[in-house]
Formats: sequence, structure tokens, C-alpha cells
Amino acid sequence: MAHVMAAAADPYPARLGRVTLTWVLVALVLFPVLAVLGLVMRVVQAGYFPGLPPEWFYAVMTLHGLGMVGLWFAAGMAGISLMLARYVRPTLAVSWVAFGATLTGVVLLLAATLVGRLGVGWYFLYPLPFHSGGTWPAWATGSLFAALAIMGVGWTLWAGDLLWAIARRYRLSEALGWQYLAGRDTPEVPPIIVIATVSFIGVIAGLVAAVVILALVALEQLGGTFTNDALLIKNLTFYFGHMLVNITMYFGVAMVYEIMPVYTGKPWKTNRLVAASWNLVLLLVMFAYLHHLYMDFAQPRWLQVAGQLSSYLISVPAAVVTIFSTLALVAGSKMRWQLPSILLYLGVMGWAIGGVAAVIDSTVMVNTRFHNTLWVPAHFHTYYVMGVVLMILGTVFHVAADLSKLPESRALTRAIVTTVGVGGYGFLLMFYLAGVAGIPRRYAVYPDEVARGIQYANVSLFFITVLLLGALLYIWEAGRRCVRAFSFLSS
Amino acid sequence: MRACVFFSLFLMLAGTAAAQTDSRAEPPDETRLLNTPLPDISLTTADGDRIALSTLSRTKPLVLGFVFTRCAGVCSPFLRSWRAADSRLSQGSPLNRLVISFDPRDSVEDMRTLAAHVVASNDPNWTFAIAAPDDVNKLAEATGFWYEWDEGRQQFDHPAMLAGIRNGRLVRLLVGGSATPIRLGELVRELSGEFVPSYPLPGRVRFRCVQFDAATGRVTLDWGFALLLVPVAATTVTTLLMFGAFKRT
Amino acid sequence: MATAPFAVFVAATLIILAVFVAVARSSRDSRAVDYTRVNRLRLQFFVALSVVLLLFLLLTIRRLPYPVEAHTPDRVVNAVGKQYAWSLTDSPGPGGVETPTLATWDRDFSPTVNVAAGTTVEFRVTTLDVNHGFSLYAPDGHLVTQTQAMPGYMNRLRVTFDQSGTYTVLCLEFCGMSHHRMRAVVEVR
Repeated sequence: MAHVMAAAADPYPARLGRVTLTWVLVALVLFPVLAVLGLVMRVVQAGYFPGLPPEWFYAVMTLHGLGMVGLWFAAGMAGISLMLARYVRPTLAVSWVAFGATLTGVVLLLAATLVGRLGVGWYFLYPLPFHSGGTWPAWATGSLFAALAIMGVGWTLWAGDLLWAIARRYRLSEALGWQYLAGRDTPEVPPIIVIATVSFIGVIAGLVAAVVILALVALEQLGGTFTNDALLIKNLTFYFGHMLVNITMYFGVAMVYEIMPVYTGKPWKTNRLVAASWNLVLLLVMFAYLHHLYMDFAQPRWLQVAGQLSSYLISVPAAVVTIFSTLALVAGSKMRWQLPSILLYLGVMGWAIGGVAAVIDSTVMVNTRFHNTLWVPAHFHTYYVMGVVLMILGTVFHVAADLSKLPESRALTRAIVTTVGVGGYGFLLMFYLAGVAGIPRRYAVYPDEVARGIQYANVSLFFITVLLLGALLYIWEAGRRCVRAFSFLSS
Repeated sequence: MRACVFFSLFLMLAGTAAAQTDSRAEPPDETRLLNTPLPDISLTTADGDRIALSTLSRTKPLVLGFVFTRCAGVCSPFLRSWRAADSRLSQGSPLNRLVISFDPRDSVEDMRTLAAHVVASNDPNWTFAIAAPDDVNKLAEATGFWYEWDEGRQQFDHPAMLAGIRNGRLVRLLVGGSATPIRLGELVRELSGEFVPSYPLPGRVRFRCVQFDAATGRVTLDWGFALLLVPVAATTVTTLLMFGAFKRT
Repeated sequence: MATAPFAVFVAATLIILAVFVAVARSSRDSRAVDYTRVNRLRLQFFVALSVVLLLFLLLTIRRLPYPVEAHTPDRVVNAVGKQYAWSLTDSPGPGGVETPTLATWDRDFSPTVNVAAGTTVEFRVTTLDVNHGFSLYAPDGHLVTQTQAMPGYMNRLRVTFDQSGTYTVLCLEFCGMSHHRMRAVVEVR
């Protein structure tokens, strides 16, 4: 980061720093709030609020899900935007537009869920938003779709601008690293450009899918003469959702490629393997979403098989290239184990573990037993909370520490890593065990047949508390560094 | 013809509201009749041959439809849609089709004319036949088909349906105004021994005049499949345009 | 059973944990990296991973929950979901062979069905409003099987009830505020 800041005469670096830190600070505020909402959910599932009307649980669940997915996507975009500025020039005004759109969306979502009691789950599976059963008013549904539309436009512009920035400097074939596939290593393209290009293409595709959904839904609601095909909308919904979540993961991974070398002292360059793996990912990420529809027998059989094939296959580049390379890089280095590098390293490990759980569930035969049980939140919280979130938090701390010039406290680092590690994996273990026991996900109250769910929720509370403690410690340490850095940039 | 259709439609709608008073308003119920064995009745084909139903129903899977040649309503459109849908299906496993008349007035000659009308006279897989009224009754009961003489209109009232027979037993019913390739295809696949894990629901069962049912699930999916490709297509175009916008040295 | 996949997961996690800890421990000194050795190891890992994935793929891709062969079941039960209940009936009632309607829901509503032990039942699953998830829990509480209930579609799920007892149907696709209350019973005697 310092190298970006070096050219003091050019106002761009300072402006870039300010917009990035604004994103980060908002993220650091929203993160604990949304995490507490998750805690509330587990508290309710543990049976501590027997009198609570269940619609409040589901409203909180919707806000927690949409909030976290949106938050980490936006944080990932902000982080990647900063890293890319080393090589290309993103338009900062677009970042601010996206910021405004995101904040507007957040307000609309807060209103829809906490005031309107909208409870549709984060992927708002059609036609549920239009069947409230009297739980939420029509304006809440409208608010949801308005929020999605506004944020969607903002994020599409943002991803488009970043892709445009890459396009200004690199040919498409270079940006995708095809020269490496052909056996040449010039022009040299850093891994982050390749990953970012793949990611932004994916983002745009996912957001266009959301546009198609909104258009179809609007046509039905306003036109009145036709009913949408629920299977088509479900395909589009999971195309969009899966893409958004996966791309967020890739943002985190791009940060690992970019930042880890600082702590290993060894560079991480693009080569034929890196280029091959990310090009394969670009292809496969378009089909992997199919694993969400195995239990929809209406889906053509060949699509189901394609889903399992692509889901299995997509684990190979991740494992053999990125994860292996991380390990190889670390093994051969005198590592500076500081908070950023520890978090990045743990994030890669979480990604690996969550990936294994995901590949297992993407086996159709297994999915019969695991679909929509707590195994699903188990695996996605693994590669989210203990995966991409740690990667992003590691990056944030790296940048903030660098800018603020505040030294790191070994004791606090140890405290953060221990609490986050123990708390995080403990809370996840409760999800996994519950999933194996067949406990359904998204239940406010567990009926007698699955009453064991209450015990798992109860135990998880201890771990979530520990995790939150670690998170708050981190937020304090990172937050004050960010504020300090912000003041440096503004002076 | 239109009067017959609308009248039948009215009967259907009236029936759903007053089902206790008019059981004829209910379409045949496959689940009640599942596995019912067909009586082995004697048929006289359009060629004048006498054959047993079992030669058709036990040798290969059989699709069975009831008509009467003096029908001013749905029989002809339905039969034509069945024939058209059938010919559109790829010839996978062998199958028998039987078109039987429940009208005692229908003769072998009438059935020959009907066969010619749908261009099936020389198709060995299609059999047009008549049978004794008692036998027709037994067959109708086994498949859930019903027919009632309406003195006022001088027509029979009856549902439009196809019965899927496997090893001499009823396994599927296809009820509704037209046999689309998709619905017929599912019926045929099932009869051929292939399991269909899911099928789109027809709209409210009612008689329609010649139109193919555009709202039947899979048709939407086909169109929708194109929509599913929109994100990839739009993104590819956008990416190529973006990167192509710059002149490179 | 669900325990086999879990065992695989635990084994893989322990291996990943062990490798990450070992590698972290080894990172004390900067070493000249022997890229040939690294690449050989990577190749071995790639081969091993591919073999494992291929093995699991071949073992599992044949056992899909959508059977290829059509055996006529002993019994057909219509399962219709609606916010917030399941109705299990022998017949969808008047209104359609395949299409239950709101008008017939109240008339034919039944949250219980009796099935003889040993019979193969085909559940014809659909919904009158939003997506639901038809899931069957055995008397001992484990999840036997499931399928989605999607508006406009009929999904067919075949189950052979070898064991007698009370099986519970729960909703496994989030459908609104009483999603957790949707329940039906299959009594197997």
C-alpha cells in the first residue's frame, strides 16, 4: 500500500485510500451487528425465547443472510479495488456510487426486515416474496426488490468499471493469462489481474441473472396474465447466489496471492498452472450452481449429473494450485507470522475444509440426506467465516497496520487468533453434527422429531460468544488503525 | 362443435363446485385405478380382423384412446393431436396404439374412414377397432373412462383421455384437451420402462379446441433455457466489447 | 447413511489440519526452494486427488434418487404442501387427476396416511403455493429421503417402508413463518 501512497503529488492514491477506508470502516461496523443477529438466531433455536413470534426469527434470518452476503461481497470488491490500483486505475467516483447504492440498499433491507418483518430467506426464492401469508406487508416485498435492484446496479457498475480499468491496460488474452498457457511468460501479468478478470466476468454474469429474475417477476406482478416457471426462476436465483458467494471467495483468494508474498518474502507469480486453474474456474463456475437443485426432480437428469461433475472438478484447481501453492510458499520461507499472515493462512485452511464439505454435499446421493439440513450452513459458514472473512480481515489489518504505522501486539494477536479459531470451529462443529443428525436448517423452533437441534444450538452459543469476543478484539485493533490511517490521508 | 366444447367446459366448471351431485364432472382418477387389469375383450379391427385385446396389451406397452366417429366435439382434435404428438416422438421402444369406439353405431367402415382421416391406415402400430357394447363398458370401467348420451344434443359426453397400459394393467392416465408431445412423451417413456421423476402439472383440466397447451411446464423450460443462457451471453458480449474498445499497438 | 460422508469429512479435515500445522511449523527459515521437488509433489497430490474424486464419482453417480426404471409402485400417495401444512391423500380429489386445488384442500385434507409395512409407496409431491420440501423422517429420527415440492410441478418419490412405525413428514424448504410447524405422519404397520 505504501508504494501506492508514495506519489504525494498525485491526489489519486489518497482518494483511493479514503474511499477504501470508508468501505472498511462501514464493514467493521456492520460485521458485528450482523454477527449478533446470527447469535440471536442460535439463541432462539436453543429455546430461550419461547414466546417470540417466529416471523421475527425469519426476518432476522433474512437480514443476517442478505447482510452478510452483501457485506463480504462489497468488502471484497473494495479490497480488490485497492490491490488492483497497483496495476490499473479504477474510477473512484464509481466506487462512491456503489457505496451510496449499497447504503441505500442496507437501509431498505433494514426497513423491510426489522420494520416490515419480511422473512424470505437470503435468496428470496420465488414465489415466496409474494406469499407472505399476512406476515409482512406488500411494501416490504417492494423494498426488498428495490434494494436488490439498487445495489445490483451499483455493483454492476463497480465491477464493470474495474474490468474496464483492466481492459485499458491489458488485452483480454493477457488478462486471462493465455500467454502462460502458450508457454510464454511475457507480458508478465500478476495473479491478481487474472483472478480479478475471472471474478468480474463472473460477477457481471451473476448480476445479469438477478436482472433477469427481477424482470420476470416484474412482468408477472405488473402484467398479470402469466405465471413464471418456478424451476426457471430457481435456476436463475441459484446461478446468481452461487456466483456472488463464489466470487467473494475468489476476491479473498486474490488478496492471499497479493499479500502473502509480503510475509513469506517470496513472490507469487503467474505461471502456466495458475493461468490454467483460473481459466478452468471461469468455465466451471458457470455450471457448479446446479448442485443446489438436486432435490428438484423436475430438473433434467443430465443437468444434475453436470452439477456433480463440475462441482467435483472445480475443487481440483483450488486444491492443487492455490492451496498447495500457499503451503509450498509458506514451507519454503522464513514466515513473518503476524496477524495478517496468520489470518490469511487460516483463511486458506478454512476454505479447504469448507470446500471438502461442499464437495461431499454436491454428491447427489449424499445430498438426499444433507440437503437443507444444517450441513448446508455448516459448510458455507466454514468457507465464509473461517475462509474468506479471515482472508479479508487479514488484508484489512495488513493495509491498516501499514498505513497507521501502529505496531502489533503479540498478546492481542494470540488472543484474537485463539478465540476466533476455537470459537469459529466450535460453532461450526455444532452445525456439522446437527447436519449429520438430519436437523433441518432455517427452523425457528425445533419440533420433537428433531429436538436434538436445541442441544446443538445451546452448545454453539458458548462458541459463538468466544468467536464474537475475538471478532470484537480484532475490530477494535483494526478499527483504530483504520481511523488513524484515515486521519493521515485526510491531512 | 364449439357448443359441445363450451358445454363440456361448463359441465367441468359446474362440476368442481357441485361434485357431490355430478360425479361425471370429475375426470378419471389414475391413482384409484392403478394396476387395474384390463379385461381381455374381443376387438374387430378396421381391417375386419377379430383379435383379442391381450394381443395388443400384453405384448407391448399400449396407449389406448376412446372415441366415437360422429363426435362433433373433442374426439377429432384430440385424436389428431395424439397422432401428431406420437409421430413427433422419436421411435424408441416399440409401442401399440389402440383407438376404440364406444359408440354402438360405429362400424368397421367408420373406423377405416377415421383411420384415413388421421393418416394412420397403413401404420401397423395403430389399431382402430370396435367391440361389443358390454365389452366396451368393461374396458371403460377398468380405465376410468365414462360416456353419457345427451339426447338434446344427440352427442355423447365424455372426457378426453389416453390410458397407458403395461403388461395388461393400467399404469397411467393422460387426461386433458390435447396430447402434447411432452405429456405424451412422458406417458410413453413410462410405459417403455423409463421412470419419469417429475412432470409439469397441466393447467386446470378442461377441453380445448385445437391449440396445443402453451402453458405446459416443459415448454416454458425450453424458452426459459434460452433465458438461462442470457447471463453468460450478455457477459461475454460485454467483456469482448470492453476489451475490444482499446486499440493496441 | 449420513455417517459415512461425515467420516470422510472428518478424515479430510484432520489431514488438512495436520498439513497446515506441519507446514506452519516448518516455516522457520528461508530455504532455496527445489521447484522440481515441489512440482513432483504437486503432481502426486493432483493424481491422488483426481483418483479419490473419480472413485467417489463412480461409486455415487449411479445411485441417483431419480430411478431409471419404472416399476409400478404398490401405492400412490399424493402429498400436497401449502402454507403451512401437508396433506397426504390417496387421491387429489375432484378437480384433476394430477392437480389438487385450493377448493379441494379443505375437503380432502389429511395430515396422516396409513401404509402397510413392506409396501413401495410413490409420493406424488406438489404444492399449492410456494416451494416446500417434502422430507421423511424415520421413527428413530434419521432423515430417510426427500424431494422438493415446487409449484407447477409434480415430483415422484419412491420409498419402500421396510420398518414399521411412525414416520414424520417435515418441510425442508423455507416457506414462511410457520415453516417449522408443517408436519404430517405416515403410519407404517
